[in-house]
Amino acid sequence: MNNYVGKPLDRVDGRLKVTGAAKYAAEFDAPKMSHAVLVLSTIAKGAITAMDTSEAEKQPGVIAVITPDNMPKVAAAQRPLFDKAIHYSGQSIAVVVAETLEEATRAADLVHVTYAEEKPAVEMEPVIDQAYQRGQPNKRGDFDAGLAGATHKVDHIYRTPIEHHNPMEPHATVAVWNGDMLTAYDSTQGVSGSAQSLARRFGIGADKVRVIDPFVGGGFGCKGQSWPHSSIAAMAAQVVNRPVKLALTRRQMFTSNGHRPPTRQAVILGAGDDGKLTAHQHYAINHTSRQDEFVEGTSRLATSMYSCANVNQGQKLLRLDVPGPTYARAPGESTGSFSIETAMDELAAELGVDPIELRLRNYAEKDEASNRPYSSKSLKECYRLGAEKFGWSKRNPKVGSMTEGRYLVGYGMASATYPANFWPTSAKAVMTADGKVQVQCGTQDLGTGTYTILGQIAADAVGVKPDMVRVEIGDSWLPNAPGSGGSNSATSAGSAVMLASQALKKQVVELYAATESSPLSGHADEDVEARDGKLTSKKDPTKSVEYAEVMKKLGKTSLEGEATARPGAERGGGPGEHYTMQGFGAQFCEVHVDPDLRMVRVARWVGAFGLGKVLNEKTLVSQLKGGVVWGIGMGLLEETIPDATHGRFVNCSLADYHVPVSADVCSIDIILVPEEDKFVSPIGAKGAGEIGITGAAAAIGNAIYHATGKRVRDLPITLNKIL
Amino acid sequence: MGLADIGALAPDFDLDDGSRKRLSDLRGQPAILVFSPDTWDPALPQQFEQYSELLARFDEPAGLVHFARDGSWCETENQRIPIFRPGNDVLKAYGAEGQQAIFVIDSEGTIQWKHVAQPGVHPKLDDVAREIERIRKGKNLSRRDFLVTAAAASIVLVALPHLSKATGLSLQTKEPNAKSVTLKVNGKAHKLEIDSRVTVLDALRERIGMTGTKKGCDHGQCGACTVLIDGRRANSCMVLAMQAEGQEITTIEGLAKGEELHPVQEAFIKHDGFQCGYCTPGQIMSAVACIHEGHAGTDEQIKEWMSGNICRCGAYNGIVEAVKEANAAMGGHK
Amino acid sequence: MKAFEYQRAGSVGEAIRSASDGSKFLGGGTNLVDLMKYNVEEPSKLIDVTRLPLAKIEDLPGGGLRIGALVKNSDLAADHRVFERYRMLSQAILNGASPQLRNLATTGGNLMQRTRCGYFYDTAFPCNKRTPGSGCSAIQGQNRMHAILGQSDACIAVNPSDMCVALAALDAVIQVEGPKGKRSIPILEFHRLPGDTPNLDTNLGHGELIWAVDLPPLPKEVQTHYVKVRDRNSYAFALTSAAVGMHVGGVDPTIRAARIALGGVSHKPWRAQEAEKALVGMPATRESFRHAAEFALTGAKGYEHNDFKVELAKRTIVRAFMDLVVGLA
Repeated sequence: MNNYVGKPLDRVDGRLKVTGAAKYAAEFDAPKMSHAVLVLSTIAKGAITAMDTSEAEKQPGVIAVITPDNMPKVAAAQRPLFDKAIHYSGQSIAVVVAETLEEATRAADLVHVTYAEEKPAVEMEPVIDQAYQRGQPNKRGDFDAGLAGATHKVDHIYRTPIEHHNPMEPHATVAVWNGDMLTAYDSTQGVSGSAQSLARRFGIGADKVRVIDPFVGGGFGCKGQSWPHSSIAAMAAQVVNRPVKLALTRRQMFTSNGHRPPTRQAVILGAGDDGKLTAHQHYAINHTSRQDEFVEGTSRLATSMYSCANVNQGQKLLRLDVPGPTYARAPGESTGSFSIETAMDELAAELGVDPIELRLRNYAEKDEASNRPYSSKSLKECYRLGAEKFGWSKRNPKVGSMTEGRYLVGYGMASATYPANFWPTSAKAVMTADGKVQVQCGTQDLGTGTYTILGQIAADAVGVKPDMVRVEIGDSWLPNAPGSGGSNSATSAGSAVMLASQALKKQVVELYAATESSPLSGHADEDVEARDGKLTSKKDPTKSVEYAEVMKKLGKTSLEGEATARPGAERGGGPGEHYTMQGFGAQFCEVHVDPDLRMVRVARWVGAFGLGKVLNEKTLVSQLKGGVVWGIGMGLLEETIPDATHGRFVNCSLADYHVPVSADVCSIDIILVPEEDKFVSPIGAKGAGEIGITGAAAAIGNAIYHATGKRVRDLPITLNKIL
Repeated sequence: MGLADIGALAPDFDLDDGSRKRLSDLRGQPAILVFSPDTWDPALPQQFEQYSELLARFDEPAGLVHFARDGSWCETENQRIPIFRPGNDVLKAYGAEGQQAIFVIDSEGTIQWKHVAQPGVHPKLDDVAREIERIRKGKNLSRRDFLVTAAAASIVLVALPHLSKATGLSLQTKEPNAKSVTLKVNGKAHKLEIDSRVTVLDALRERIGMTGTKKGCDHGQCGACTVLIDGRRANSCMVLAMQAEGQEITTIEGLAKGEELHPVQEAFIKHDGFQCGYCTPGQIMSAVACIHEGHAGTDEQIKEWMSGNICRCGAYNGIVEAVKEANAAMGGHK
Repeated sequence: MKAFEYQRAGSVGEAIRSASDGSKFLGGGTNLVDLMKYNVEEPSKLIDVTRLPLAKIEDLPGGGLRIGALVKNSDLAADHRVFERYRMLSQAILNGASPQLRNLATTGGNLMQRTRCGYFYDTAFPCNKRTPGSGCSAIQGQNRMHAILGQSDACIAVNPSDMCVALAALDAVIQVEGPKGKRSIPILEFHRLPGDTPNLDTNLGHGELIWAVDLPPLPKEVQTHYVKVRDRNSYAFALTSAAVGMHVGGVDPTIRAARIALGGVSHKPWRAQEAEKALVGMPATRESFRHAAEFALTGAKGYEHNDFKVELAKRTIVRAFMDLVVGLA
């Protein structure tokens, strides 16, 4: 067996990406391509009373203007693609197809719409009473008694705003029909899900749709479900009987593909003089749209993050005239960790206890929500190693006591956590006559390093060098895999590829052992070591043969191994011991706050994480750093602002919606705490896509408090809030 | 004069596809020969699909391709397209070392058209088709004759094709308000008939078929579209194509010298200065300029002078390291 | 984007003669093309002036500088004469936009930069600046970025330029030429307050082309500095900014002369001349600067979300001067 897994190998797709050769959805083309541009509603609530398309249709180059009035009937398993009822501002109401992008864009502007407008509600506070319970509130022990017995209390409302994912690659779909067969080049976090969604929408078999997306220009959750524009592109392609390319504009992306909903969180912590939690309440409300229900599971952390016998936890939704929210990097944990980790810091300050010490006193050795052990949990090591590297011991707990030059210095920390998801996934590993290996799996690489780690996993499992492996993903015709969300891909696809590759090696060995006068005659799979393209007998190391030689001997052009990785009983699916599987980490940051102007600069960051087996140190560290950068954005910058009167977002651009730029980001130190987890998945890894953002905003807020004494409980912490 | 020039006989070689044939055995039918750098390419299935588009050019009914996943060939309805790795002598004979190339060979075995370029610079299928059409006319074949002949055309794929079916395929319809403009991109002139509204960015991506330059916001707010115009970095989404006439535009596709990457490209790979890769071409073009400007001296300076390029994946640490290292490799600056 | 006729002007005269109803001069395009993509600007003709020979920076007799209208922002900031003699201008430009935008943006274009008000940018909202008479959405709306000085009931948008704040402090003179010939417009008379006509940003007549910006000489003793406060550490518009200049002299050192202009607070770069006068004769101390800052913000008024700007602007002024005092400028 090789040991390529874990090595910090460069990304195998690096060369394609640095030369501009990597192709993203909108960059695929087809003969007679046409361009589609959406028309979006300009009011938030009401109905379309008239649509005048005559001017648009007269524009040069226009091929079709498709509206609710003339759209073809496609299978309406879901709601119609265009609706005259307006549910939010920025809703798709028509599409224009033209020869060129410029013509389509102009004609779309000239679709004149008359509305009967009603007063919208887009802000939570004025209508907070209309929030409704979603799911059963969770009650453990006796919260009231626990709180009554507490000598120290933290009781506040915490808020997080609407945030937009804003991947750099705008959503795009290129739809190409060939008879009743649809090929869609679709920017998606799930080629299979996108294909299924399109098949349902058009009432055709799943085998009639092929979704291709070799490179995804970032997703972060907003490419996790199939949004209307993909179906609209396919519908338009049917109407004009030509391939259609539909790419959303950056502004359209603020209302067409979800956002992180704003949250209002009522958190109460009660503790005794010893700092032990006696009561923990977390009630959260997030907005959702008129048509969908999306729960940002903000409060679920309360049941398990810290040890506490008396817990109240619940989740409410509030319907507003807004686009449907969706998953955004660490849905639930990112928003929930902001309030809990801030509240813990407040409690620590109240008690005069070090924030890490307080967390250790309330350390949850098991998952108290389910009463299960953790399959692994290295949080204590994360605290210890993170604190050591950061120099936490140098922190003077007195608020405002530390300075550097003119700046106030603050140290802050928080815990991080995210579930280790693992979902059923299939993969195939094919050896060709030359001894090379093709790995096929219908997963996708959002920039997380999937191509690279799958190659490493296959290289080890088959026993070849990584450059002998070619990974094919991003195509719904490949073996089925789940969408890349919930940090599951490395675990799920990694496990499937490992099993398929093992099956391939076994098959090759067994077939070869059975050939006439085979040097490996009488050998079983486990008797043969495969390494760097060579099979060697463990019984007699002098006996060895190259894979290519074996294939020649076998006379095969190809051999393949297939496997489906499935979670087993240990995840609660059957008899035996059940575990909670979760990644943990600790975030430490230093902020510098201008004493007068109150601009905040994150000066240092240390994040320590325990995430099971490391598949590729380089891509893993990058992913975690990316999460922290998101945390910096969430903590200091990001907020989508609705105008209450018109029910419309006012800052739908990258100039006005601030994501971090290079100058906002310090050097981030990531510690990977060694962790072995026998249960989490065959490959032994936990995902890393989301955990990096969790706790990060709280760590920044806690550091700002330490520097300034200002406690900000609503994100983002812009300078006006600490003036 | 190299061996594989237009008008010359295509250098012969073993097809090595198990058929024991040589290229010359294919005479009697036109052939298309494609060379692609032997780099790992995850977009393989898609590339086959693109390739099938070229095949479709030979006959009316499209939908030729069923990609066989289990072997080293691409299977169409009536033929298998072998893929193999040629020896260096073959590459040399065709002048295709480190390049991607496409040759159209007529039924007599004569090279009628070729495109040899750096990896990532894709030929437009329209150009290929036009050449085939020209061959047809030159030989006085009727369209029907041609289709019959062409249907039996052989396709030889050498390594993996990097063939783009980029917009060249879109019919170059007469755009209203169309004006003639010639854009010089990576040293090559592209004559376009375009609407005055077209930006340099859309000219590159949607007209010329060079999609390496990315559209992230289309409003000068993200830097993904950064190119060099007369050597200076600029947001190509903010410049009208008409404005850029006569100026030298350098894109990400023009940075590497053949197979040899630019030091900034190398450094981005080494330091993992990207994740999804979408902002990367803009980051790299910006970094090249940043270094030439002399703004890559310290980490703080790099951060400030690279802040016009947003990376939503948050690969900024790697980017700063990459720029720093490339700056040193390029001898400070200038 | 609405279709338009594109014309490249071969000379200043041709550019001016080509101007017609609905035409616009096209410089770097970083704002005009941006606004055209949003249908906020819909010119019927673009007269591309970028090839005109107006890209030089020349010394004026007496120690001033003449900046050609087509000098790119990057080149202006990097010019050693600007850096040495008008430091705040160099700093202001480098605090704006991004390197690649500054490579496109021109001096003349920067003067013509329109507000970043989100309501102005989105044609779905009422906006008096874009559509006179439709109402101001910002006054009752999301106005965190908006004006606190010189605004009207019709408009509370701010001028987003950094460069213009420095030009205002430096008493720049805008050289224009139009159908009726040449004229010079002092910077403080170039931009307008919104009043009842917020649709007009400047006093430039139709068909008038900016061909240069003159910087009068600044006494060597006057040190200048620009401070910008923004949400991001780079590539963001100002919440507030201050361009200040100061000459401290005498045996018992006092302020002999001062310059103060503010950005991010008004429909035009806001020169605070009363506050400047208040500084003369005062010692260069935090207290003096704070006193002047109070003067500068006299009459300032917030609209809820931007209330903080009143205090922030004062602190920005103090900081800019203090940087000069402590040598951090």
